Amino acid sequence: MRQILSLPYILLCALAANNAVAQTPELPPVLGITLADIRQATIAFVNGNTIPGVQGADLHIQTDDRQGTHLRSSLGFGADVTLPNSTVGLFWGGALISGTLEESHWFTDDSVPIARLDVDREISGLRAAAGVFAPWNRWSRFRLYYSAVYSELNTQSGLLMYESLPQEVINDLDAIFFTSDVTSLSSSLTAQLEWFHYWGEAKWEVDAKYSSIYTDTRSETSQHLDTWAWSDVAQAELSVTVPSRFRPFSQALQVQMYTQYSDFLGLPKAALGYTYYFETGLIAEWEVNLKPLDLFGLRMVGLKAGYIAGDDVTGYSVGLVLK
Amino acid sequence: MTWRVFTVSLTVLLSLTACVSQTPMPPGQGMLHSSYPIRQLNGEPASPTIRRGAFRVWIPEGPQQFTVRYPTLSGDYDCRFELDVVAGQRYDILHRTLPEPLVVFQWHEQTDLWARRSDPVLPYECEWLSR
Repeated sequence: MRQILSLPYILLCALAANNAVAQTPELPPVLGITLADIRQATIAFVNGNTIPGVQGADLHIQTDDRQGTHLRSSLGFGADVTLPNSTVGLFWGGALISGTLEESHWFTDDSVPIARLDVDREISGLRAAAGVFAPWNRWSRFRLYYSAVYSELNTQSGLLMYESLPQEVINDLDAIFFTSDVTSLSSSLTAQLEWFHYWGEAKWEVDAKYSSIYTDTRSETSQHLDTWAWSDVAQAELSVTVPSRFRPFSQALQVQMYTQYSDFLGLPKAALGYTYYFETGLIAEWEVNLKPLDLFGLRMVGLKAGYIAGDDVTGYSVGLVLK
Repeated sequence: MTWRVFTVSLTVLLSLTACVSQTPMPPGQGMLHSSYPIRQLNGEPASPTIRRGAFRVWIPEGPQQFTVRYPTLSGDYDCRFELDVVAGQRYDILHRTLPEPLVVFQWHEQTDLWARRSDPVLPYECEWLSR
């Protein structure tokens, strides 16, 4: 039987209620998933929406036994603050984050369908970051910062059993719908290297980022989701920006072509349905050079469109970009 | 949820306290406002003041030359600018990922809530000073 990682909170709480014990019992072996798999998937979903560098996207996961749609969005900023008479400066930033997931998992036993689990999730969170930066030379800059993320996750699951399941298991596991609420606090340390160079009028840029994240989750409705884990994410982006001769709204227009790679290091594929993806796209950006509220500078406003492809995941990213 | 109330409250508070304001200038003078040290003004050592983390120096109107230092871990760049200064105008000196590390903008107060920078001027040379 193929082992499938999923999040059947309903099964766990139903079993706990029936047995009236403090400990959450393990899932029936016939489904091939464990409580540890559920915890891992929960934390993976939190990180997949909230870690630094993750941007808005519409992702579609498609495998033989799994199908899902993951929407995520964020509104955030980051600013470097120079200090007088110092080479090292300060970095600060923040973001509002939200995401939804709708997916279905099919459980089989020797290719015979046993059950289907439908999972709907919603997450919203707030991220704050602070750290330092320093330019190595005029072409490169290094940044090291700490991020804290508070998020709230709501999950609704429904399990549909097929007739092929042994009767004694069906008796315990009927079509049950259950809602669980999880709060999460993540702490991460991110190291980032930026480099750029001009060849003619074209500006080539490389942006590499590595984050190590500690995530702690709490739940009053699902005791097995009181857990924690370490995760690592690596991202790298290559882009080239060229000026155009167009000046819409009397502002210079630039076009940027980019390719970005994101890798959730060490994450089992079944936790999210994917472990890495590439995003390739275009950004049309206008130079505005504004300073709202005298707090930070807004250099560019742009429109972005990108295509995403990875291991069993595809999607697109369209939106407004503020630099 | 309490964290949402906190977020909204913090945003409103920052908006009320961080307003754009124009600094009064002496007659016949403009102002250089820089995130980086202003080293020389027309060949003479400059004596900028520091206010809210930025260097400021008054500069007479007309054609002027000044030098601003961009520091890095491996060495510094002394960038030299030529600028036709207008009296009453503030000039912001910033770092940008351009062919030269520093650029001068004219700063315009649009409303109490935001300002705009325009007319970028690059330095005519940047001298590398290794450590």
